[in-house]
Amino acid sequence: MKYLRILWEGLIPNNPVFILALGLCSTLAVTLKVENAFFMAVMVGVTTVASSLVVAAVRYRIPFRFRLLSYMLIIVTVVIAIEQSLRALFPEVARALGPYVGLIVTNCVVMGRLEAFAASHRPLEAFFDALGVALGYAAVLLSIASIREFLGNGTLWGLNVTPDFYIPCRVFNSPPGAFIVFAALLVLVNWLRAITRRQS
Amino acid sequence: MDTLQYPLLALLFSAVISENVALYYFLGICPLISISSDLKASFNMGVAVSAVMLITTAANWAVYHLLLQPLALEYLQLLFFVSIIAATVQMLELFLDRFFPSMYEMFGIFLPLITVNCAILGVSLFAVLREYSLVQTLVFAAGSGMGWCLVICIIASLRRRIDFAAVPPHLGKTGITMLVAAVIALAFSGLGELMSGGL
Repeated sequence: MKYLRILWEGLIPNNPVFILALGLCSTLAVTLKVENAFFMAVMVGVTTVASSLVVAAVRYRIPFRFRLLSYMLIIVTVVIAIEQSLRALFPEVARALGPYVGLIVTNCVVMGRLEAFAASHRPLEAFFDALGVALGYAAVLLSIASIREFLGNGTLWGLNVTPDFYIPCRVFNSPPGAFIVFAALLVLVNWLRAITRRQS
Repeated sequence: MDTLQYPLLALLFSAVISENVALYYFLGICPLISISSDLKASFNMGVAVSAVMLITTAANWAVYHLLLQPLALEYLQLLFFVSIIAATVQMLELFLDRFFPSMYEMFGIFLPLITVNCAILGVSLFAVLREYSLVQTLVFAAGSGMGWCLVICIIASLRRRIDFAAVPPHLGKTGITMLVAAVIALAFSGLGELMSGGL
C-alpha cells in the first residue's frame, strides 16, 4: 500500500513535466511521432529506475561533497549502456532520435529524482518512486506525441486513422506546434487541478 | 544569397536563426522558461553560455577526433564530453575569479548552472554526429551560442511586458512563455526561407 502511494505521488501529484516543469527539452523535441516518443519514454524510464536503484543502494558510501559528480557518473554509465543497446537493436529509431538519447544525461527528471528521493530512501522505495515518475513522464510524452502526430499527419504510430478528406495541419509537425500543444495541455492540467481542489 | 557559394555563412545563418538551438532543437529550454524577466541578467547568462559553448565544443571535437576515434572508443564520448564540460566550467570559474573579478561578479553565478545546460552538450553531440570539420564546428558553435543568447534576450524583454498583462486563467507563467516561444519560433523558421532561394 505504501509503495502504491509512492508510485501514485510520482505519476500525478508530482508529475515531473507539468507540475515540476522538469525535462522540457525532450518533451518537446522527440514528440513528432508516437513511436519515437515511446522509445524515448522507455529509455528515460530505464535510466531513472536503474540509477535510482544504484544510488539508493550505495547512498551511505557517497561522500556528500562529491554526490552530484557521483550521480552524474552513474547516469552516464546507464545512458551509454542504453544508447549502445538501442543502436544494436533498433538502428532506425536510434537515427531518428539522434543526439537526444545522449542528452538524457542532462535531463533534469533523472537528476532531480536522485537528489530529492533516492539519496535518502531504501532501494525498494526508490524503485517505486522512480517507476512512478517515469510513468508520469511517459504519459505526458505519449499524449503530446499522439496529439501532434494525429493533427500533423493524420496518423497514430504510422497507421492512418483519419478519413480521406482530412487535411493534415503541418504546423504541428514543426517546432512551433510542440510549444502550442504543450501550452494547451498545461491549461487542461491546471484547469483539472483547480476543479479537484475546489471539490475537496 | 547563394548557399553553395558561401557554405560557412549559410551554416552560421541556420545556426543563429532558422535552426536555432532553443527554438528548433529545444535545447536549453529550462532556463528560457524559468529565468526572470531581467534583461541584463538574461544577456549575461547568454554571453556566459556562448563562451562556454564555443570552448567546450572545440575541446570535445578535438578529443573525439584525435583521441577517441583513433582508439575506436567512440562509445565513451558521453563520458568524456560531460567531464570536459564540467572541468571547463570549473576552470573558467577559477580563472575569472583570479584575473577578472569584475567579470566574475557578472557571469560567475551562472557558470555552475551551465554545467547542466543541455544546449552545451547537445551542440557538441550535433557537431560530432554531423561530422563537421574543425572550422565548421567553430562556426556552428559560435552561431548556436549567439542564437541562444538572442532568444533568451527576446523572451526576457517580452516577459517584462507580460508581467503587467492579464494572462488567461490556468495558463500561468510557463504556459504564456511557451506560447511566446511558439510565435518567435514561427518567425524564425519563416526567415529560414531566405536561405532556400527566397532572395
